[in-house]
Amino acid sequence: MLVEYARNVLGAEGAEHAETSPDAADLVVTPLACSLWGQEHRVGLIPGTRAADLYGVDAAVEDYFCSYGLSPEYRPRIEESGLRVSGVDDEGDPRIVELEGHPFLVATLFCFQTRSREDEPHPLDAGFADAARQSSVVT
Amino acid sequence: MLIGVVGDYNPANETHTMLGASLGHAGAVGEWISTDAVPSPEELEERFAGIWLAPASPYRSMDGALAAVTTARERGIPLVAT
Repeated sequence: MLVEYARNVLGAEGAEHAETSPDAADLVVTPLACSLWGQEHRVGLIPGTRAADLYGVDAAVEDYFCSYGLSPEYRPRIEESGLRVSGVDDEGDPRIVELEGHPFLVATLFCFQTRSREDEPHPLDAGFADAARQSSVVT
Repeated sequence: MLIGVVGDYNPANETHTMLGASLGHAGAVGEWISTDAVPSPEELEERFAGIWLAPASPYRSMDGALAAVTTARERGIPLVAT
């Protein structure tokens, strides 16, 4: 999602993902300092964001299967353009981003589907489905 | 309510196998779309209430995955990427 956004919204036509194009000059997604594969970590929710509203708490624990994240060099441009960081780790590094002014466009570094339960859908799962339900009602 | 799940389904990947059940918990049904077979923006918008970009390492077609994101972003279709 970040590659698409960097190329088409920020105009960085050559923006790449380090996993598939490690030698590219312009990387919007870069290797994390430490791989998070198979780990669970705390995510702090930024007040006033959609993610924080959906979770309804200050922080949550999530499952990661990921070794890459938003390039620190790109973060200021990303945030200034309206793609907001709404979840962070204990060091303040981005874990959730969401696009302002869109019905629902949310990207996470973790996989929340592993924590969704039949009697308790994950907050982002439920929020996404609600947004889809509302957008499909429009005729 | 049908959600288009863009990604290359791998039954050995737990994040893929749990994705459909997760949608079910929220009252939705997922239909997998391979990244090398992403339909036109018009068809995506007509058939799917939302798009879920599934995890991948890497996608079979990066261009297909990117096209689905562009469609969701430009047409206001709810999108989640995990």
